[in-house]
Amino acid sequence: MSTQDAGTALAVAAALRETLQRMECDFDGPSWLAAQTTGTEPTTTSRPAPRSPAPAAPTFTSGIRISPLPGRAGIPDPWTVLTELRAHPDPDVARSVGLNHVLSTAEQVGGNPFAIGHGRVGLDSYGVPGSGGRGPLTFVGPPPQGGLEGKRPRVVLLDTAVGEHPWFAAAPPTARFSMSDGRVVGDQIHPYPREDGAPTADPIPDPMLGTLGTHTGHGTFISGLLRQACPDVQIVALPVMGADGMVPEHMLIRALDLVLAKQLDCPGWADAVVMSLGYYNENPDDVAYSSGLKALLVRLGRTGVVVFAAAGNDATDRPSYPAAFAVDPEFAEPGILPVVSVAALNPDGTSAAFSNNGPWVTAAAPGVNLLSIAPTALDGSGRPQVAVQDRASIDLDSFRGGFAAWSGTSFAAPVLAGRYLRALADVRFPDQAQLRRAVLEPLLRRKPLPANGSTVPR
Amino acid sequence: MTQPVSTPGDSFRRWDIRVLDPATAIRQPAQAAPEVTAYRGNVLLITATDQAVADAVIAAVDEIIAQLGVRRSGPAPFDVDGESRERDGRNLEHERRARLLRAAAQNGIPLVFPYFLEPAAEGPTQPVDAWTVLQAIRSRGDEVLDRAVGLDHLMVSAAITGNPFVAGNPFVAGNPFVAGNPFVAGNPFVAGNPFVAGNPFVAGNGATGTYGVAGLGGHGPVSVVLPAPRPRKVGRRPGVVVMDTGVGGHPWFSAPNEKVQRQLWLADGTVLGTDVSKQTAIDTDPESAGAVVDPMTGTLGSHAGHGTFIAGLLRQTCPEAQITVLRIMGADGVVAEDVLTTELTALALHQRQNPGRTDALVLSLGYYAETAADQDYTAGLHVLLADLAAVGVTTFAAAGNDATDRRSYPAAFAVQPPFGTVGACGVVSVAAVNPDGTVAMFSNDGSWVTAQAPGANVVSTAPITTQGGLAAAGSVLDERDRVRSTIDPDNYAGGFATWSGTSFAAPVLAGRFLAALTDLAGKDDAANRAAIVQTLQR
Repeated sequence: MSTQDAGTALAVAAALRETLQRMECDFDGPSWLAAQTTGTEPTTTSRPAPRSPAPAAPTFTSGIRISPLPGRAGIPDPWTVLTELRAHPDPDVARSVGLNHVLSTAEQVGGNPFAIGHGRVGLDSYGVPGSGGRGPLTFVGPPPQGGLEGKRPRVVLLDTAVGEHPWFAAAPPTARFSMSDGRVVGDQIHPYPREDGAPTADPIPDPMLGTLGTHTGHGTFISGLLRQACPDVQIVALPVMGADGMVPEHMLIRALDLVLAKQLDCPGWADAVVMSLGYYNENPDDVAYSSGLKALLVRLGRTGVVVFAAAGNDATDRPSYPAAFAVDPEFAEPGILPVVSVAALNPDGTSAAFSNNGPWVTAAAPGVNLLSIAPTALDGSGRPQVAVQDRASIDLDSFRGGFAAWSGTSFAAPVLAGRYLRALADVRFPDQAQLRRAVLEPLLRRKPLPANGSTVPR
Repeated sequence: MTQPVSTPGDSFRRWDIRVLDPATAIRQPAQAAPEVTAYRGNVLLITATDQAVADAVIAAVDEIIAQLGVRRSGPAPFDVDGESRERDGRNLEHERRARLLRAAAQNGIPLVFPYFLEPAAEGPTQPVDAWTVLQAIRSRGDEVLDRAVGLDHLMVSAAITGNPFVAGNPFVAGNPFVAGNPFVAGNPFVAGNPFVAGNPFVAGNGATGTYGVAGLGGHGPVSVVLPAPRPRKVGRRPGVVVMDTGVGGHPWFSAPNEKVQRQLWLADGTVLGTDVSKQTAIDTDPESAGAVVDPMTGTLGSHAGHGTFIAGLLRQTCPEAQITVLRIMGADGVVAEDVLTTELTALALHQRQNPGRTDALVLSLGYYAETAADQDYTAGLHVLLADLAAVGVTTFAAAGNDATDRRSYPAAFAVQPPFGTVGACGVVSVAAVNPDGTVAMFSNDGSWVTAQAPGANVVSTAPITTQGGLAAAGSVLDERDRVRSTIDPDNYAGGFATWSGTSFAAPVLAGRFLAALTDLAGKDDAANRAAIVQTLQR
């Protein structure tokens, strides 16, 4: 559920309870909703209760867990519940509930059930190392060197946890930040269900096979791209995603809530958010209905944050969210910075065959067979084809050298974000949305291909 | 010109290449069979300390070959004012070399030069074979002559060549040494045999063949969004010279970034390496217009982009270095020893005219010698590199990619006097390692390999003009007529590539040497240089 005020939240809760009781179930509300029913105002300062998805920010958006009444087994499909609620006579109620989508990330090599193994010509080839797939590379250059004095750009990355790498030895991306009242937040964002609050992230999700997760190293790879495109960048990485690349929508919203709270608490703190993930909505009205996600992004846009979202890798023009909010009229209002949906380009500047495209895709950036970093601890069970003593052919899932190649609109989004942040630093971080938009606009235009069919990066 | 697929290709014809077959090569009584090597059929390479010795050797060889029905062809090696004033290519080449040799003689630089052979008979006769001539010379038992005269070896660049057209290449399919030879065809470990492994037209085999595939180390495009490496402000910028395929167009090497020099000049205007301002040179540039060696299929030369890739690695490992990439080889990655020795002579002169200008020399090429006692017979290359070491130039040589411990030269000079002694830093031989630090399966190794550096699936620069005939697997136009496609496997318009080979380990180590030299901030005397080399070795 997602509402903008406490009154509507209460109305939704009442409608939800009434509907569910007819179906012989109930729901576990978030703590702030429980507080509403007992007359206490929700505040941004109330510490969320453990295990209870609660907003720390001034939006009323949360996952709702449906549970059977005592003595009953099973619950209805949330879609059934949703369909009933959308017929509710109060339009505010009907609009304020949605499915808790599972977002998957936009990169090749497994993970995305929509992308791999579909037998569409050419697309699966991107999963093969050398044709774009994840594999080790050797890089002998120096780490990107920044030189900014004073304020540095800050980006929030909502992805997998960032692993260790020499490029970030001095200043690793942080997964926590503090509010002006001294609270340190960030620990409530985690990719896996957990009981005791302890981190459970495991780079080898299948210990019996030792294979690497399809998205292991995803956030690290993106951090490396941000650093390459903008060497001075400061990265806040909230781990909403597991090694399987899946993100429940409520976890994403919980993280965005934190970012919005911080941004309101400390204006100008973040300059951009990178979301290399997305979902396809269940019907075209979804934008009108769903969207806690959209409401949050609009509010973030008002605080000077540009959201860079991957367009998706399914060679479709079906809108993928949040990327497709890029063309939502609400973001076009003055004073709001936009969502940018980013398609992927091949090394020679042509569009990647896997990249989503359509009127809702507003930008493109390199996203195929990119060079970036991998956690140096990453080493799957795969072995070199040939090995004798200390001599071997290349071990395709050993990333101990720290560098990798990979493809996806997942990686086009941070490249564009990095370019924006660098340009923003060049003009000393103007406050006005209009001025920030002026920095962004030139990056949204695709360079025309020269006569030989390609563009040349600077 | 493209050769029909049923005949040997350009480099065999260009260099009159012979392959020494151990089974049939003539030899002295009681002499062991030679090893396989490739050499120019009509050329001997002569090495002398000064012009008097050179003249004596020439006279002795003239006399010996007369009895074999063979004679010297063309003007005398030192003759710049000979009667032949034809302005054909060979004479221009001869006059340039003769002038360099005269200058070398005046400067005490060793004299290394080709001696061209032709049949003396007027009527039809067999072509000359330098190996046969050499055996006749060695049968005299004259030690001075033995050391002074050798084969003119074909040197092969040490990149892994993921050439998809290998199967249809006459060097392989039509070459009886490969196709019909059970020692090769049935044996996955043919490495060490230059019929196969030293031949740039054969992309590795068996265990090492995986490196020819993009993603496993092969040549292919990659996206890089890094800014160009920026040099620090330093007092003296170290100089490095690469003798390779030249360098192509790339944003890293054009304003506002530091250029890579494509030529050096001696005081008299003589150009080092190929004069890249000449139209014929422009048309055949392996880093640009000449990258496609087979216009009918659009096949890129196996070494197109090789020099640019090396320049990018030097830029990455030492952004402060002044990089010069001279062009001495074509897109096939093959160069004759005499071409290299002539350019080394020119570099030795350049270093004397510009003391301290060049600190490192990168040679990503090599050959396997025909006899075990080879160091006696590889004198020319050896003494020239020793001369360069004496004037402050450290050579970084690729160990070779044939998974063999058979010595590849010049790399193997690393352990031979005067280089092998502790503290000397003349030649460093460099093996390649994988991304995870293990030694690359293709890399040569042995007691003569003194260092190692990253050289497998390395990322570096490619000329943005390099574009071959291979097409993306799928390609359509979108509603705004923009191309949408899978990866075009041989279009390097984005400017970056992956590649593998000890060819690339050598410049990485050279760059690290130069970076360490820069950090010394002027205290770069011979002892400190030797100390740096010591730390870079295994």
